[in-house]
Amino acid sequence: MIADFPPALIMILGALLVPLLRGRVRAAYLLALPVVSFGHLLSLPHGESAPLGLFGYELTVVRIDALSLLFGYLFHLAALIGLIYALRVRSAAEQSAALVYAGGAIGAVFAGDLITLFVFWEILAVSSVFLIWARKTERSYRAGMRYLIVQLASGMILFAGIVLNAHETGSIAFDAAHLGLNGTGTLLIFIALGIKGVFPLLHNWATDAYPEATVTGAVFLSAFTTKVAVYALARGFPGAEIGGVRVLILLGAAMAAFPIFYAVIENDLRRVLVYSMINQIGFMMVGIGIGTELAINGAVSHAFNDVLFKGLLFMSMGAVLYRTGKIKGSELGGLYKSMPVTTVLCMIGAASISAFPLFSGFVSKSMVMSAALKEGYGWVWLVLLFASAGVFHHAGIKIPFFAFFAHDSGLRCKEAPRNMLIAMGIAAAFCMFNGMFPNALLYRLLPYEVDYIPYTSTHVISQLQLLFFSALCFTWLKHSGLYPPELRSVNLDSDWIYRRLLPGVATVVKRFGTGLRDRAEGLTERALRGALSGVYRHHGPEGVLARSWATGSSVIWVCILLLLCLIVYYR
Amino acid sequence: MKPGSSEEQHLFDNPRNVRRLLRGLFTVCAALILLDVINFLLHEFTGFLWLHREEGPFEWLPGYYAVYGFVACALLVLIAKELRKVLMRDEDYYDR
Repeated sequence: MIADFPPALIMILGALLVPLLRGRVRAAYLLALPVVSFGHLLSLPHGESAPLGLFGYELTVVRIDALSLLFGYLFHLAALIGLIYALRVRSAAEQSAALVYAGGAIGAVFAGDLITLFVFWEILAVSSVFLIWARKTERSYRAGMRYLIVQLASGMILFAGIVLNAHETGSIAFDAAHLGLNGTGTLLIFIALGIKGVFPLLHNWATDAYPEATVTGAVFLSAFTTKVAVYALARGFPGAEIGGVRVLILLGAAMAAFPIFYAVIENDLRRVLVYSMINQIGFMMVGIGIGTELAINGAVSHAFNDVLFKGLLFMSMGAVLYRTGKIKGSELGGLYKSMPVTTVLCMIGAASISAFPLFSGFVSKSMVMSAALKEGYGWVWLVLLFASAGVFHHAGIKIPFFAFFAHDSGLRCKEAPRNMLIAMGIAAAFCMFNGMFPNALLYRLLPYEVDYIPYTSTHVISQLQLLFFSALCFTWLKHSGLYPPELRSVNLDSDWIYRRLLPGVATVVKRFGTGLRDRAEGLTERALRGALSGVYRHHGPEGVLARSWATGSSVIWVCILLLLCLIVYYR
Repeated sequence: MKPGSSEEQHLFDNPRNVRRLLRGLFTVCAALILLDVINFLLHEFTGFLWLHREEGPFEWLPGYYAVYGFVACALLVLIAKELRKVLMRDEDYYDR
């Protein structure tokens, strides 16, 4: 029975007790949950377990194999780091929401069928919105609402896809053999995954809502939702084709290249991080789209590293926000004086996302790029190389530079609290460990045999040239005054469609509709009035048909009628 | 640092340290270019292939990665700067 217990439920059910505990007991309990859950996961046998019958379908609540395990381990680690980071959060609701959210993500990656996936998909959506609302501002409330609507829409599309697919094929299996882009049902599933997976133009819920979340909430958010989508696409749609085109390669290349332009001009540093998150997911999508063993290995190992270094960057920016109350590049600067440890940890994250040799991005990102070349996608490789230089530029340099260096903003604050430093330290340690010893842990977890050596002199030198000349370019642009300054602003993105265009259209339609209604009303009223006054004229008190007639005139009319009869019938 | 404050001097308050950092960056860049030159000469005169750059488009060109990194960043920033003219709005654009 223990062997059948879904690992996700430990954190989800465990969250119920959080409000009852206080102080150190609660802290210990919070940290114990992911550890217990992880221990339970280690004890589970590979394969499918926890079968459950529902509506005549056989559900597989737990499926354990290399791919799901990698994400399972990763999410436990991310939950533990996030909980350490969030230990000072007082709100039991926020901590419970974070636990349920992490549990939902774990449940989704171990889901062995589409219906189970759907259930955890919805748990992810509903629990995560509380991490945004917990900020308790009008802005965060509205952003959370928009976020929730998009997430629930993704859930509905997923459900529609599952139902259609089950109707077409009779299967609810969640694997590449039964999915792939071959019908309306699977296409809907693909789009639903794509919404959470921040596909181009479906991405804006993330850039809109994540920066409005609480300091700690954004750390959890950055780890789970999008990576669950990456897992689900890697599971169900590797190398998926429409008309012979591997669509995920195109989508991934667009995701890697476009958001970095926004990242350069964005002022809110946590929003910059969301744009760079989309850019990194772009690399993963390209890997999944190529679909070879090397490419899939690259995609999921990059997902593993990304959760850690992106989490680290979100944590360091969160610490800045926590201590100074500010997060805009235009208001920050010079914080290395007040927060030296946070500065160093942030730079480790920056080096990792930029794929510096000895840091984690270096050993995973290049796998995807290498796979692109091997499969003959030279132009994709060029785009990814551009994106690599770009990510160094905005996440590697811009984030640490404008927060911790640049001009001195005059802000003086305390170093980040100890629990935040510990959480960042653990993430930084993993970033460096995976970068230096990829064979020790990361490559062992990958779903396919690894036949890839990241540390060749060619790769190291080429990458260093790319990065250092990007840095040189930044220096030149900054020095010559060509670099765009950080400005208080918002930049229009696809959320403009539903925040401005659609409400605008609705207003116009409403105005047009009201006009039409008023006209119709006027016309009807006039017609009715005309009809009524006609009736009144003929039948009213003075009307022709309502008059009383004199007896004499009646006699005359009767006489005339009789006379007519006589003439007609006279033969 | 604010003028007149009695705070201790920090690392980059001293312009000499900033210059040192920049000099370090230029030196590393020069050294990296030198490696490409060595690779090129080795291949020309001894036929020995040190750096294996035969898969990517244009990758074999000496200095390819350096130029690509520099140009990519310059384009990225300058195009993004132009995009501001189209995309940028006041901070309270959506709140109005």
